[in-house]
Amino acid sequence: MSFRTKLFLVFLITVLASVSLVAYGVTHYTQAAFEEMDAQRTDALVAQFQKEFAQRGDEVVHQVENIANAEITLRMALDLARPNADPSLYVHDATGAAQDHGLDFVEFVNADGTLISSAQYPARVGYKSEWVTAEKDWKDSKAFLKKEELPDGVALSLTVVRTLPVGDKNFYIIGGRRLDQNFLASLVLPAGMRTLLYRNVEPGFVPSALTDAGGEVAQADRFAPIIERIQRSSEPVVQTVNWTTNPADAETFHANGLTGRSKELLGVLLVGSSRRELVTLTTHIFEIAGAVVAAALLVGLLISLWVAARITKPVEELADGAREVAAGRWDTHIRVRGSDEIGQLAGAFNEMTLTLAEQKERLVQTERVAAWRELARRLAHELRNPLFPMQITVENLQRARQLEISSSWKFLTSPPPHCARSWRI
Amino acid sequence: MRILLLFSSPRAFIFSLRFLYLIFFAGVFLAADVPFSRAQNPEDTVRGLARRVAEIRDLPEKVAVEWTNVSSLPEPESIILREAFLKELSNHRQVVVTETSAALLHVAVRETPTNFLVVARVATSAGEEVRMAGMARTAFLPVMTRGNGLRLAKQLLWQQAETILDTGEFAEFPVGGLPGDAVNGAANSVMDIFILKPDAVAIYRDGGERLSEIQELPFVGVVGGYKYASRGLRGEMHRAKDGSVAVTLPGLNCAMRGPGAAGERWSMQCVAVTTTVEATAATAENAQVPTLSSSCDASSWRLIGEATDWTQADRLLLVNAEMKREEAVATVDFAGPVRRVAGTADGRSALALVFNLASGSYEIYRITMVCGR
Amino acid sequence: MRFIVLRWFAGGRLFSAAVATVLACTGGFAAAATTPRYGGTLLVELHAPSLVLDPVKWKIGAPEYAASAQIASVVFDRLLTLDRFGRFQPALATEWSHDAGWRRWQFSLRSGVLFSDGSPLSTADVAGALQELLAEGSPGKAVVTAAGTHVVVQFPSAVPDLLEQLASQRYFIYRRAADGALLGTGPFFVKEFTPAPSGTTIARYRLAASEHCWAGRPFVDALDVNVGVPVLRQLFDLQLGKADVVEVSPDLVRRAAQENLRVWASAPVSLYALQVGADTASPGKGGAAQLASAKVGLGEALSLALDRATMANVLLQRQAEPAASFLPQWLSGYAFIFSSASTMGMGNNVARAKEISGPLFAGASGPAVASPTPLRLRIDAGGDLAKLIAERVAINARQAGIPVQVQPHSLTRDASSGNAASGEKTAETAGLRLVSWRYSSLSARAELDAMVATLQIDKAADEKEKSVEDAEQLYARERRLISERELIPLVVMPEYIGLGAEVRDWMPERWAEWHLADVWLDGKRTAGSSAGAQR
Repeated sequence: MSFRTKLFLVFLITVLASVSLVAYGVTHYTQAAFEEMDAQRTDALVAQFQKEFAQRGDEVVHQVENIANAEITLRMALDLARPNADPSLYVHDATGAAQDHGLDFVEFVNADGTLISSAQYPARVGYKSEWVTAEKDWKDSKAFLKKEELPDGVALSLTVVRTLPVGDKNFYIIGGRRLDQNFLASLVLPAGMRTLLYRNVEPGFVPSALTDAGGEVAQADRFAPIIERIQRSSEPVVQTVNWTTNPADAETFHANGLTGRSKELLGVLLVGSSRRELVTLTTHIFEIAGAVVAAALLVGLLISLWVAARITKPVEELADGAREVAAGRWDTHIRVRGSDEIGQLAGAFNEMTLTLAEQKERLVQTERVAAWRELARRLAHELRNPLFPMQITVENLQRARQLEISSSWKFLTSPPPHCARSWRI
Repeated sequence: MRILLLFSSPRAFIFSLRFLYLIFFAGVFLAADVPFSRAQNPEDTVRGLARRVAEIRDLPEKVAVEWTNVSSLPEPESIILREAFLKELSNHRQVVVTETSAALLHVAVRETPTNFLVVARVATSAGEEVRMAGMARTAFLPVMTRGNGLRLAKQLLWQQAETILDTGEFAEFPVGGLPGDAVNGAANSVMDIFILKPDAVAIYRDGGERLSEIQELPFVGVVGGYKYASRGLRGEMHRAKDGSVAVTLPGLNCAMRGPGAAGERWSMQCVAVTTTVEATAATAENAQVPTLSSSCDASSWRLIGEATDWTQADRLLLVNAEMKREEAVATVDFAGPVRRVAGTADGRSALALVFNLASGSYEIYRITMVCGR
Repeated sequence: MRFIVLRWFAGGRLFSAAVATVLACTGGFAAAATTPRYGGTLLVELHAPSLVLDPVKWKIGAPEYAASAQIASVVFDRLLTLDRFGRFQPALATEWSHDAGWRRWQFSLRSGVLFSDGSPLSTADVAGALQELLAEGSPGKAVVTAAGTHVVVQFPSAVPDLLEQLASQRYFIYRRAADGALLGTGPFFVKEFTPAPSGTTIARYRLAASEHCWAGRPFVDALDVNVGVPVLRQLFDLQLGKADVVEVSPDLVRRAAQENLRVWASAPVSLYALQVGADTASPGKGGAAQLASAKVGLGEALSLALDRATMANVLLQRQAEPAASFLPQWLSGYAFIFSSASTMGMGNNVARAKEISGPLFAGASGPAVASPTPLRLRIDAGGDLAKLIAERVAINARQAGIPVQVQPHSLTRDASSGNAASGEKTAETAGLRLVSWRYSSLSARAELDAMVATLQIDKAADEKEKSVEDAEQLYARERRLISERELIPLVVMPEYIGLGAEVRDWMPERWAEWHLADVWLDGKRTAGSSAGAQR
C-alpha cells in the first residue's frame, strides 16, 4: 500500500467518523426532544378532555335543571303524584324534552322508581330504576358517567339527575349526553393525534366497543392488551402499537380509565399520538446525516486525494530524482515546492545532484587537461622536427625580403616539404 | 210491533219479504243438517245452546248463570234470550241457582259483523268448556218504542230501518190561504207528519199512540227515468211560499199540494233537474231559523246539535239568543247523529230525524220543551 | 259544533222574525248546513309509498296494501256490502242465493251499471273478475260462469261465508283491459297520476267523480290522494287545512286530540304478533324432537314473559289493545275468552317464564347482555311503532332470561320482501319475527285461514278441521293454534283517521271502510265546483 493510499484512508476514516458522530448526536438529541414534546402534547390533550368532560357535565346539569324547572315537567310531576294517575299520558314527553334541550338521554322517573318516559329507550317504560331512588339527595350532584342501556346496545352517558319534589315525594329527571364518536369528534386535536373511547360493558375486550371520532376502529383487537391492563389495574397505561412493520405507522397510546359513580370502570379513553411525525423527522435527520456523511465522504475523498497528492508529490519526485540519480543522471533536478521539510529535502537533493555534477565536470576537465597535455607533449615532439627547417626558411625569407620582394613570392608558393607535411597534420 | 214496522211501506214490505225468503231459504238448508246456519229463530238457537250446555260432561248439577250482554243487542231482546236459555236449561235437569258457591256458567252475548254470538263458558273438572251459538243480527230488526224526557222532552214518533231523508209536519189546510195565515190555518187544520224516503213521500197522521199511514206518493212514475238509487241522504221538504210543500231530491224537484177539500188527498207534481244543482240551491232556502217557544217563558229558544259526522252519538242543546253552547239550559241525547231538526207549524215542538247508531234505524222524535223538572 | 237548521214552515212573520234572530245570534256559532253540498276536492294523504289498485296484486294481511284497498273501494264496487248492522246490502248484485251444500252460489246483477268509461257492466266482467280473484285464496278454487243476468260460482267444497268474504277483502269487480289496466264501476276513477318529483316521496293521484255511477254521483268533484306522505307531515297538513282525510299514527293520536283535531278510530284492524321461528332454540341442537320441544318451551316462556297490558296501555298510550288471540273480538266474537287470565296467562309471569327458559338458555341467567347468542328478532313492518313493540318484547324476554336482539327493519327488509313471500324463508332464518297483520276479511274463518296460510303457522293442520266451521269449531281451532305458541299475539290496533273541519258525513264502517264517496265538504271550498280544480 502506497503512502498516498494510507494517507488517503487515514484521512477518509477520520472524516467519516467525525461526521457520523455529529449526525448521531444531533439525531439522538432531536428525537429525545420530540418525544418529550409529544408526551407534553398528549398530557395537554388528556387535560383538555378532562376539561371538556367537566364542561359538558356542567352543560348537562344546566339542561337537566332547565327541564326540571319547566312548567310542563312540574305539571307532569304533580299529575303523576296523584293516586291512579295515568302514566301513559307522558310516555312521549321525554323525547320532546330531549329534543327541546339538546340532550341525548332524558328519562322521567316516578317517586317509586318507575320509569315514566324515556327518550332513549321508550320500550323500557314501566320498569323500575332503583339506583335513582337509592340516592337520597341528588341536589347539587355533578355529572357522572353512566352505562346507558339502549335498544341496540349499551352506550356511555354523561348523566345528571335532578329531583322535583312534589309533596313528600320526588320526581326524578335524568338527563344525559352520549359519550360517543360525536363527543370525540367535538374535541379539537392537533394533527396526528386521535382519541378513542372504549365502552367497558363486558368483561374482557370487545372490539366493537371501541370507537374513535370516525366510528369503527380498524384492527381494534390490537388494543386488547391495553384495555385488559386497564381492566385489571385501572392505572393509566402508555403503550405503542405498531400497526405495520413501518415504524412510521406506529402510534403511542395513553390510556386512562373512566369510572362511574361507584368507581366501576365504564370506559377507557385512549389518546393516541401518531409516531409518524417523529419517525419522519428522525428519518429525515437520518437521511440528512446520511447525505452529509456521503457528501463528507466524497469531499473527504477528494480532499484526501488532493491532500495526499499534494503531500506525496514532492516525495515521489524526490524518489524519482533519486532513482534518476541512481540511474546515473547526475544532473537530475527536482522542483522545490515550499520551504517545508519536503522543500528543504528537495533543495538538498538538488544541491546534492549539483555538487555531484560539478565534481564530475571537474573530473572530466582534469582528464581532458591530462589528455591535452599528452597531446601537446606529443605535438610538441612532432612539431619540433619540422620547425627547425621552417626556422631556417623563415630566416631565409627574411633575408630574401630584404633583397627583393618578387623573389619572395616564389619562395612562398613552393613550400618546403616540411611544411606540407605539417598541414596534413 | 215488529210486524208493523215491516209493513211500514211497500218497499219495506218487499224488503221484508226478501228477508223472510232468505230466512225460509236458509231454514230449508238447516233441515238438511248444515252446521253453519245463517238464520234461525234466536230463541230456538239459544235453547239449542242450553241443551248443548246441559250435555257437557261433568257439568255440576247446580249452576249459577251469569248472563252478560256486551253487544248492540237491545237489552229487552237479551232478556228474552236469557229467559229462553234459563228455561231450557232447567228443562234439562239443570238446577239454576243464584248462590255464588255453585259452579258459575258465564253466558255472554257478543257480536261479529254479521252475527250475535252467545258464548257459554263453565269450568269443569276437565277444564273450561265453551259452547257457542250464533244468530244473524238481521234477526233483530228495530223495534218501535216511545220515549219521554224532561225539560227537553223527546218522543219517538217513528222508527224504520230504511233510509229517511227528511221529515216535517205540515198542515193540510193552507190551500188558497196566504202564507201569513198559515199559523191560523194550522190551528184549525189537521197536522200530518211527512216522511221523505228515497223513493216516496209517506204521509202519516199521529193518532196519539201510533202513527198511521194515510198516503204514500212515490216518485217513480211521476217523472220518467227517475232513479232513486242515489248516494247519500239528501233530499228535503219545506213549505214553499205558495203554500205547497216543496220536495227537492237529487235530480228531482217536486211540489205537493194539500187537499182542497175534505176527502181529497195530497197531489204531487215533479220536474227532473240536474243532479248537482238542486241541493246547493236548496241550502239557502233551508237556512231558516230554528226557534222553539213554549208557555214556560216568552223567549225564543234554539236547538243546536254537536255531531259532525255519522260516527258520533249526538245531542241537542237548548240555548237562547244570548247563550253560548256551553251555557245550554237543557240537552237531549240521542243514540246517533241528528240528521235534521224541523220546526213544526205551531212552534211548540220540533221534529228531529236521528240515525240510531246502535240499531241502524232512522228515528223521528218530537222535541218539546217541558216546564220544570 | 254544528248548528242544526230548524226549518220553520209557519210563514212570513215568524220567518222574518226568525231570520232576525239567527242573524243576531250567530256570534257564538259557526253555522253549518246539514244538507250535503256538491263540489270541492277532498284531499287525502296516505303514508303508503304508492297505490296498487289491482286487487290481484295485494298480499293478504300485508299492512302496506290497506291504503290501496281504501282507494280501490271508491274506484271499484263489490257485489254486495255489509253494513254495520249485519245486513248485506246489494251493490252490483241485487239478489243472491245458494244451494243446500253452500257450494253453488248465484248472483243476479244490477242492470244499467256502467264502467267509468261508459261501457256497461256485463256478467262476463263479473265472472272474469271473480274467477281471477277466487283462483287463489281461502274460499277454494272456484269456477265462475256467467249465465244470462246471473253469475254462478261453483266451489268444490262448502263456502257458507262467501257473502262475508265478497263484502270485504279484495273482492272488487273490475274489467281488465288488454293492457292490464283495470276499469271500475265505482264513484271515482283515476284521472291522473303525478309521480313524486325528484327529492320528495309524495306522488299524487287525482280521482275524478264518475257522473254515471249507479249509486249516484259522489258529492265531491275529485279526490286528491297524496301518497308517501310522512305521518307527522300528514298531521301538520291536517292542522293547516291542507288535507281533509289523513292517517294518524297511533302515537300521534293523543297529540291530535290535544290539538282538537277530529280523529276517528276504527275497530282494531292491525295485529302485531310474535312469530317463533323454527330453529330459534339454538342451545338445544340435539335432534328434531328436542328442537320442537325447545321451540314450544321458548314460545311458552315468551308468552309468559310478555307484558301486553303495559305494551298497549302505557307504551302505546291506550291506542292499542292487548291481544290474546289471532282474530279480534269484533270479528270472531269469542276473543274475549282468550283474554281472561285463567286461560291465557295474560298477566306476565316472569318467574315461571324464567323456569321454562332456564334450561333452554343455560348460562344466560346472568345479565342478559352477557348471554352467548341472543335470538334475533326481525321486524316485518316498518315504522317506529313496530320497533317500539319489538324493543319491548326484547326487554320482556330479557327479564325472563331469554336474550333477544332486535334487528332493525332496514336490515330485515332485504331478507323478506313481504309477508306472504317471506313464508318460506321464515323456517330458514333463525330467531323471532314481529309480524304485523292487517285484517281484511269480514269472515273470521277466512281471516284465520289466510293468516295460517300466509304465516305458515299451522303445518300440522287437520284438513277436516278446515271444512265448514261454526263459531265453536273456529274457536277450538284458534285455541289449538294459540296453544302451539308458534305465533304469539301481542296487541291489536285500530286505524286512526284525522278529519278536516270541513269534512261532513264521514260514515265509515268500524272495520275501517271509509266510504269516501259519501263524504261532502262544507265551507268555502265547495262554493264553486271549480274551486277544487283550482287548488
